[in-house]
Amino acid sequence: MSQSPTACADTRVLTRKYRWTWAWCAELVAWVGILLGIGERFRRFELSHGNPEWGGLPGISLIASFGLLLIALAHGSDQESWPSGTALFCAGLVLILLPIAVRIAWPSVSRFERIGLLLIAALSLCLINVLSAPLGFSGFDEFLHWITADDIMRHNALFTPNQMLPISPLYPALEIITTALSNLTNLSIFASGTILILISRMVFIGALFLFFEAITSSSRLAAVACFIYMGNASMPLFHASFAYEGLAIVFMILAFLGVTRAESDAANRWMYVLVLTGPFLAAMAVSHHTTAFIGASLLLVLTCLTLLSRSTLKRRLAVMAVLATAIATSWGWLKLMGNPVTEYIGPSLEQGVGDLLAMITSMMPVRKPFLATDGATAPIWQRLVMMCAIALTCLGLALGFFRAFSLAGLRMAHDRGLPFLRWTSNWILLLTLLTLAFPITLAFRFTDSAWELGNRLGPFIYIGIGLVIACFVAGPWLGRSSQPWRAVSAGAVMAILVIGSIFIAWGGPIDFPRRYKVIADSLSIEPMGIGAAEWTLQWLGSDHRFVADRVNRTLLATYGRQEIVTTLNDQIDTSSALFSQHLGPQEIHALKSAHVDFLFVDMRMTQALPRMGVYFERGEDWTIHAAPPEPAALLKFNRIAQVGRTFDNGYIVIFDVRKFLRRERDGR
Amino acid sequence: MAVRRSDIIIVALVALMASLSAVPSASWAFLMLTGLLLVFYLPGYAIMRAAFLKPRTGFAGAIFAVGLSLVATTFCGFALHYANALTPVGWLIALGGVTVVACGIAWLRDSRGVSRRNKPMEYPRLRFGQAAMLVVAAVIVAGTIMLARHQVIDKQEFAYTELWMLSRDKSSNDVTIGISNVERSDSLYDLELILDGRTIAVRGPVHLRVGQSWTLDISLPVIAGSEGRFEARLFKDGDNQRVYRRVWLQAGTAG
Repeated sequence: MSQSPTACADTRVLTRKYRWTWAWCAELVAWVGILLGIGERFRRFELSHGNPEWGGLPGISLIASFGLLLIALAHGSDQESWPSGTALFCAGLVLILLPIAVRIAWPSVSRFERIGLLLIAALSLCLINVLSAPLGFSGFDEFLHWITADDIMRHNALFTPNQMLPISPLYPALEIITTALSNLTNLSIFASGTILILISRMVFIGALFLFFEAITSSSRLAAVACFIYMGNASMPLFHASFAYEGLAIVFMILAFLGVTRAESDAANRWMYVLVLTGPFLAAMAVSHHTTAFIGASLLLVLTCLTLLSRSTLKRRLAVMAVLATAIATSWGWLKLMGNPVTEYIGPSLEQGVGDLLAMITSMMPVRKPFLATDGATAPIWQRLVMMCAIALTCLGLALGFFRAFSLAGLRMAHDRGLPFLRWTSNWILLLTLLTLAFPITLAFRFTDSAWELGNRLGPFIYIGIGLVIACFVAGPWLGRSSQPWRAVSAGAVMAILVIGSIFIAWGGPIDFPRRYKVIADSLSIEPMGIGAAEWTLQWLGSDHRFVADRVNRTLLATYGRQEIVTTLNDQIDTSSALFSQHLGPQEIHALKSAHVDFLFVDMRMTQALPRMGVYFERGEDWTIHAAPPEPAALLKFNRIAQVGRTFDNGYIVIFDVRKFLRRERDGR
Repeated sequence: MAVRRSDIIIVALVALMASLSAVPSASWAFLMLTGLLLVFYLPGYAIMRAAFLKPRTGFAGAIFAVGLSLVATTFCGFALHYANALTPVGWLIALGGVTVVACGIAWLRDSRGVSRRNKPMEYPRLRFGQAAMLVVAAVIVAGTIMLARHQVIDKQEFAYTELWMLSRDKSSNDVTIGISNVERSDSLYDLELILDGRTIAVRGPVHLRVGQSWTLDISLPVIAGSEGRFEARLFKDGDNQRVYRRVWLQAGTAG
């Protein structure tokens, strides 16, 4: 059937329209491909002086020191101060980070200067942490490791049980080095630990720079990647604190650096494996369980990539030997210590994955971002900075992902008509693939039980993220250009990434002066609680069994040297004994079973819900989170005969339940 | 081939000299210097020097030296634990020993002429203005830390008075009562002692300056085995209507 002339004209118009749409779509796809760098050949632009120069390093050091001074002033500010503490703090951060970021991105900067700038940035981030608690440890994890270190000093022996973190004495590298320094210099554990953290952070950033430089052959790209790495939320706070993961990751990067040297230096290959990589992997295995497993997993993928790539036999053997060492040391130590990790990590991992699946199926976040459990929320501008940092990270990943593949030499090749992938750099390919885990860690942050897991994975995944984003920044964005605006804009973006990560790490609104908050870890550490804990040591003596909340148990275990009843160690939940309105048979049974001597009751818990999400520890009865406890519930022991009220400072009361429980046990 | 071995001698000598820090009269600065070097640098440097024919110099060499020192310290710690010697002297022997032995191996390898030196790392020349800026920056950072410490010491969020009561001996009725003033100003306290609901003594006024403590030892006028409650009530600044703090224990036993 022939079509009418009008129908033919319509068809022609439609065909032309479709063609035009297809052409437009094809053009759009091509543009997106160009934007993302798909198929682009990566070109390295070093643009640095061959000779080492101080350049802007002294001036920027001076500016960074003023930045630190502003942060110290922010901590000392009060509510009437002008400018406000928050403004001083943010100005300090900008003064420290922006000049360093801009200078790192600047063309024609010597390698020497870039290394110096990175070290200053790492040192400054650590010092920001020190300035918030210059007299003693304040982080929850810091107290847990302090207990282990203190036990080593007191007993001159390792592996003394730690009720607060039973796994800590089994991975004692951090505490061994701290107590070694303490023994040799007579410094306190706090001072020794702080020195160790400062030095290990510098070594870490130096090793990371050398590692990136070794795999990319560019000091500029390596420096940019290192700076972007500092944008992971663990870098400014968690890894700058006295905790074992911060040291273990140093050993991991040193081992990776050793592998790159073993790969490139054929003459000393086995010396690098034996003297550097092996010992670093062994030290990592005795430092931190999760880091050891992640390190071994990354080496496993590297070995697979090496075997699949065109490498020499000796190089393959070296990488396989490294992998064997990593597996042998991490599993060997785990088995030697009686496999404490499954019990420690298993439940939270299981619950985290469950929460994640529940969130995916219901499409509703379990945990509201930017909202603490006690209802505290960051102001809108702080939330914007954090979201901006995350958005810029995602954008950088999108723009750098395919360029990183290009840098890895990834291309499609054909052999006898069969297509297969070929690449030149196993490390770059591995780190680029690692960034695919970034969305998962973001998803973990929306769950109640696994947000910490997402946080802990960040430092490892950011090794890839740093490299991938740097591939875009140091590649097409900065390129050969010597225009200042490009370096300034790149530096500004990099500074936002790090400042955003500091805001995220803060875990709540950034407000000054920093005041006491209920169960807010470092915000709950203040002289009165410390004084009460010290009183227990002075007047009661050490090693009494105490029931206390999450914050005060750390103070009691460290300043007071008391034994703490925990669900993790004793498998007895005593939270209801403290919070219930009446002391019933169940509560009495819990106290009796745990052989409790004293109850440490902090009346400030009645003021608010716990900021950290728990009053005591994970797994506690969730009904106690409905509202803060009633004062009458905490003081119910006043009404019980045979319970002594030993200590009272108006906020903290210590009850002596020894006689009461002895009578209960005797059935009188 | 002539090789320079002065670095080996220096490192070994510093490690040996560190053993002097075991002397009780060793100065604080000496302890700090030798302690930091032994834990963070010397063992790693010596091991690197002994292991590689071509000594690793420059930034990478320094990073590896510090990293290896941390590893050496960690494993020396395990060795000392099993040798029951986790003491200052044990640490000196272990870390000094590792350094000296590694230096010895490096010396022997150099004696055979196998060592070839890398090109030493070039350091850029520091101009006066640059040096001044670095020094000023260091001074500001040190001052900032001191300032932060002072601010924390001066800051007192909670003002309070501690009252406590303890039995000195499980079998006797001797009791110690204590008061500590951590208020923002000096205070006057009155203490009322009550046994089984009857006031048996009143003490005070006790004037305590900020930071000052006061203790009272008292023997309870009851026979051992009594079940009565012995209570101490504290009144502050002459306000006898409001009990400021209360503590008690069961008379007869401390629990």
